[in-house]
Amino acid sequence: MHEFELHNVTRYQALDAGGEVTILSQINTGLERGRLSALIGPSGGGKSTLLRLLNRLDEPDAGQIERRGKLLHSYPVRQLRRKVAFMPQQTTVFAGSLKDNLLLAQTFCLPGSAEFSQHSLNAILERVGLSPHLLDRAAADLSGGERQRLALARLLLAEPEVLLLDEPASALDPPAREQLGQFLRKQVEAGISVIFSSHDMAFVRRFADNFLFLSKGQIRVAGKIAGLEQVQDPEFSRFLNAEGEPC
Amino acid sequence: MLDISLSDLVLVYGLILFSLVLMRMNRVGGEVELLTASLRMLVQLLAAGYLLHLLFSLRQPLLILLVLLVMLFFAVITVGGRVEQRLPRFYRVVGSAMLIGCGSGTFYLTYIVLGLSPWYEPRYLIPLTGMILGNAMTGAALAAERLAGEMAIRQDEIETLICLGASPRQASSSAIRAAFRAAMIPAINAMAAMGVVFLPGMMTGQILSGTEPILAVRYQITIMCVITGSVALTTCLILLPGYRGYFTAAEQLRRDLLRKAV
Repeated sequence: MHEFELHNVTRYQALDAGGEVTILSQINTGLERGRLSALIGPSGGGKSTLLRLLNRLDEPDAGQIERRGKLLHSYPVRQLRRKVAFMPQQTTVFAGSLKDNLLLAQTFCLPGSAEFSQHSLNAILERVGLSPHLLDRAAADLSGGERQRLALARLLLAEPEVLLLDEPASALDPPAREQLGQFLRKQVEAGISVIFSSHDMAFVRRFADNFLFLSKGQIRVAGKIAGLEQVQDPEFSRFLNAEGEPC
Repeated sequence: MLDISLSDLVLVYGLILFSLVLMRMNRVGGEVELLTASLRMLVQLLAAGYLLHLLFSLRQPLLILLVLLVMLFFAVITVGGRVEQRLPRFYRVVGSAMLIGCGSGTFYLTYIVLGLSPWYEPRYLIPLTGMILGNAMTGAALAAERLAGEMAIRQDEIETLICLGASPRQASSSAIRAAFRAAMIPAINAMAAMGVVFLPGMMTGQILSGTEPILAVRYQITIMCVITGSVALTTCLILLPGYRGYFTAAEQLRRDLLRKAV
């Protein structure tokens, strides 16, 4: 079953100098539920734009998106964004401690709920691989990888059904990438659909179930990671070569 | 009150000539601007004086309302000229905010506090409205410009909160608060410094024209309170619909507008 189905989805972007450019053109595809799907392709290919359309941070200019058989428009938008959580490439942390960040997020993710206990906050941090000892530390002092985990912890408060991650591995060192990959696999095992964009083909090969190759706003190739080597597409081959991968 | 004759005016314009000579001797540049500005002042103030004289003698309520609307129109245009980063629907938002904010302040002052009779008494209504509008103009420009700037600077933060399920109002609250504080600073500073650092123009004018200093002080306190209230209301009425212009009906941040503002 598909988590998302896209029908003729097109998205334009207005240019500052006037006119507009096509970012996504007539996209028809399905993204499997309960899987780790990777959006791959060169920069400017439309990966981030596609992710932003899936939780309605942006709107398609044409076409329709369905989630679990229902039009995306039919979900109340705030509820949709809590259940289809999105983490941008540049993660933002708010002023104050990690605890302040989590409690601030709680007011939006779980409006009206009682404030989390220390035990619950510790459990959330442990889930993303952060030590509970960091709870009272200033969020601004965290490293890039720790900031990303804090951002993930904030998203997990709402118990999302889908995680959309824009280039989550790009700023991480190899051990942190490995930890992130393991974390994402655990979320998939827990029933969460994970869709992420990446340039890092080693990361994609190691952790993803499916891939979707986007170039110049169009899907060139899509399939299972296991079938990656059999793909016969010159542009895809060029992309893999450019990323330093054997083709 | 001591009279100032035309010959006295010629005498004081000698000081403008004196300033011109000083600028010329020191090769400062800008003598033409000084001369133009001083002549503009002369023409504009004389025109305003004769217009006020006419209005005071005609005492036509509709005409006075029209004058107030013209003053509002120029105030809004001036705010538009001062602001570099404009909110979406700028003139509609700022115009209606200043109309309601300054209109309520003027009504409160003239009708409830002073009990003006008739309500359109131009000798009071026009200068008091002018003072309220002038101060609200500064507040409005600061609020509008700061909100646009804060929304642009904080766009990632705002979108992060939107992703967590926050409403546009919740996600923009830091930007709104910063803009509100900025808009109120001139009014707060003016109140804090008044009487110690400077004597305000209205109070000085009243004292020069023979009013008892204590009554002049009461007028000044009254007008400052009304100005502060009007600035606060105008600011609120700019910020609340103002931030909404940066979002679509589906609560999506309009980064296209913010990209232009950065």
